[in-house]
Amino acid sequence: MDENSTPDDDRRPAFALFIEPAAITLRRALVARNGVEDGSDAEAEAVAWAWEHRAEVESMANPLGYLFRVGQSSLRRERRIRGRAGEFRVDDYVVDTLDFDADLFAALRRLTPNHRTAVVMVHMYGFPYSEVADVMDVSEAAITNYIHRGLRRLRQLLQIEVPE
Amino acid sequence: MNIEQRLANSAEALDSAVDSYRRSGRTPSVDRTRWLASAAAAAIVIVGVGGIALSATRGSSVPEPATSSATADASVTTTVEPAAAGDVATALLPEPLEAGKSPTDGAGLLGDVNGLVMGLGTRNEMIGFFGGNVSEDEIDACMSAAGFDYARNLTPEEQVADDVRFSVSPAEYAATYGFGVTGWDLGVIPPLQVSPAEYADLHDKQTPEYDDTVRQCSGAFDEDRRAWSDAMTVSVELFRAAIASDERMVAGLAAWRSCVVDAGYDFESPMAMRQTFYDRMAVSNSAQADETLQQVFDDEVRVAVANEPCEIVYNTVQREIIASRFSEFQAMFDAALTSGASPDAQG
Repeated sequence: MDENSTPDDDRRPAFALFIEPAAITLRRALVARNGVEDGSDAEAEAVAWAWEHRAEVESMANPLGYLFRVGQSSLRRERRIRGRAGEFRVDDYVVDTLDFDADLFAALRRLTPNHRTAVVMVHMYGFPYSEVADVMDVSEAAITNYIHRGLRRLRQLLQIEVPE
Repeated sequence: MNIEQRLANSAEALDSAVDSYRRSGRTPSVDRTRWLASAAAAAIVIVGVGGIALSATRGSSVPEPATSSATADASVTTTVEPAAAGDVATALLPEPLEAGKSPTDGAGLLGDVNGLVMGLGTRNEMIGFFGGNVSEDEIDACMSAAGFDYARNLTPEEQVADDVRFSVSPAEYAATYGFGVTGWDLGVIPPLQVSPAEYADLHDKQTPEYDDTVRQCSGAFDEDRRAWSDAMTVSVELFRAAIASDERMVAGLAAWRSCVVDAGYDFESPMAMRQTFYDRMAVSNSAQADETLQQVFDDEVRVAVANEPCEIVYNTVQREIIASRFSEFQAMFDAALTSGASPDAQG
């Protein structure tokens, strides 16, 4: 048994209650940043890490932010092995019957990872700025900045009139 | 339509793409197999403490068939026709283990306590601990009756076989993996192996209904198992405190600390020593990092190597104290079980 394990095994269902919604938030943030494949893989890594280190995760002030970095770290390792970075590609896995805004996703691919993550989390999924700030471990002011710049760039790419 | 509306309208498409990828059956990377192994191990341990066999009979806490599975996404859940509730009730409750240990079975329970209380479990003790759970055959049958195609977990032997701690000496482990803290993130520690097919299988099937039914079939909601688990949790905490205040343990901790100081380090306890590296790992991953994860790992290995001869002595002291005071634990456990003590009430 590893040093993280405690005799408080009954706490684990409570941990499961934390990790299940957290995994969804993590997945969305990691997919927004890294694309469908890498983001999903990173989420799986982060959740695996969370189970293995649940005692530490439970004591963290910002577990989501930490697990987001765990996911990102796992990708850095994989990317070193693969020798290439992931792309924000969605269309390979789009379900045909859905009304897929291909132009929008093509434009999102051209944003910086930080801008894209903030824009997707706030405007696509409706997360509050504070929660996205926690996940990305930056200030809310930084999120505001990312979103402002990201939306501006999206409008440029989609040739939508940029408001003053 | 403005850009914000287009973004909001695209959430479903992105979620669907992710779901499509997750169900695509692609071969996951080796590291991703950790997810299954961890989830499997955690699921086992959730019920594991209570799953170590009791002489108590079951009867009232029959797992309900997962009728909700019928409404779940057919592509990810059932492949077996659900059975009638009565079939499950009469035939497929997880039975207490035939070869299990009773709460007063000293040898088996001592192994559990060594592992649970102090993290001292040996290979055989951990096999015994994992082996105390409801068997995979029983869970499989129960899941089938409830309408699920069950993805089996590792056997106790497989779980332990994958754990590198049991395949190398403590000195070699320390020199190669440190304390096992940052090595996971760096990919230095071998991942727990599960076949990619098995991983994909579970990943595909796993829904809240599936998970709930696994827990039911594993006996997690069985009142006797729950009572046993509660008593174990309560008594282990009491026993841990008793051990920590034992004068031999206090002397052992002082000796450990002196040994570590002689090696050039100063920590309050073995756990505090490890916590230092968890904390540094967290910082190394942040934007404020002034050292890399590799640097933290290198330092972790150095400290672990220096600590290893000190901690071996310390662990031996703990084992001796646990063994010598084990009757106290049994009394604590029996009292907790009799009184229906709850860990929640402990605060």
